[in-house]
Amino acid sequence: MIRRRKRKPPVIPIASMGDIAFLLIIFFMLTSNFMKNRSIELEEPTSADIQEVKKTQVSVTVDRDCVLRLQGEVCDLEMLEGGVNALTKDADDKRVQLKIDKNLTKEEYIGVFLALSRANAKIVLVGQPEAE
Amino acid sequence: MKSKRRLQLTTEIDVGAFSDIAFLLIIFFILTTSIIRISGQQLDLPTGEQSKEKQKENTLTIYINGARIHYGEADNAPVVSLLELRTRLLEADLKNKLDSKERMVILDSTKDVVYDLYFQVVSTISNAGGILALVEEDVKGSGEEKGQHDSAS
Repeated sequence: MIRRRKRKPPVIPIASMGDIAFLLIIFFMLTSNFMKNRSIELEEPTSADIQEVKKTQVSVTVDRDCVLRLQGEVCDLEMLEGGVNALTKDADDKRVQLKIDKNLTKEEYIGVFLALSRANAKIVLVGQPEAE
Repeated sequence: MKSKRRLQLTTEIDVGAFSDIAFLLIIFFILTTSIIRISGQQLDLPTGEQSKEKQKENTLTIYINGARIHYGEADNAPVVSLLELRTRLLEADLKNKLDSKERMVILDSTKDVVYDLYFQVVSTISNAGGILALVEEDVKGSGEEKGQHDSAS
């Protein structure tokens, strides 16, 4: 009488795959930065003379409705200098990212430049490279 | 007599699908995450304030009137395109000048200049190695224009 061995199919334990998956999710959730400025409506100006720059800790935006924001929060022009001073006072990086809607006129944006310069901030103007 | 065994209802949650959900979420995050790259130009602005008259001595001035770029301080200065401005600034070799006063470029403009053009001119000047001096109109109307020096270079 011939006895056939029952071949057991090879088993790959996959019990830990769920754990790995959840660890990866937690990793991505912790390392991704939410885009806080998505709700700010502005068109960035373009230039051929700009290059990639490092992200700064402080950001100032002036949107198409001429609303001034410091770190995403609405701010008055009079408060801008003090606010930037407070943020850059003890920081090694005194660069301030400045994003202004391309359709604003000089009288609407020049005050921001002057306020930032009085705060001794290093202004980084943000725009889009010109399409070739 | 058969002993009746109570059927014990097990309260197990089937967790087999959890790993599928987890992988779907991972794929979602990988596809929707966008790496933000910022492009811009860091401005080199001098410190302090000076009167415009004193600043204008032997200092390169660029004047923007509406949509026209003048290579000089007034309306009668030659009108240049952005490309010509870039060429002239590169010819001025500002980057290799040791004295910061020689690198200074005064930028004056009318109030109706749109930021797009202003940005392009400022980027061109900064890219050519110029130190930008912005002109601030005296708000009190004394008639004197001040040249504003801003943040440390």
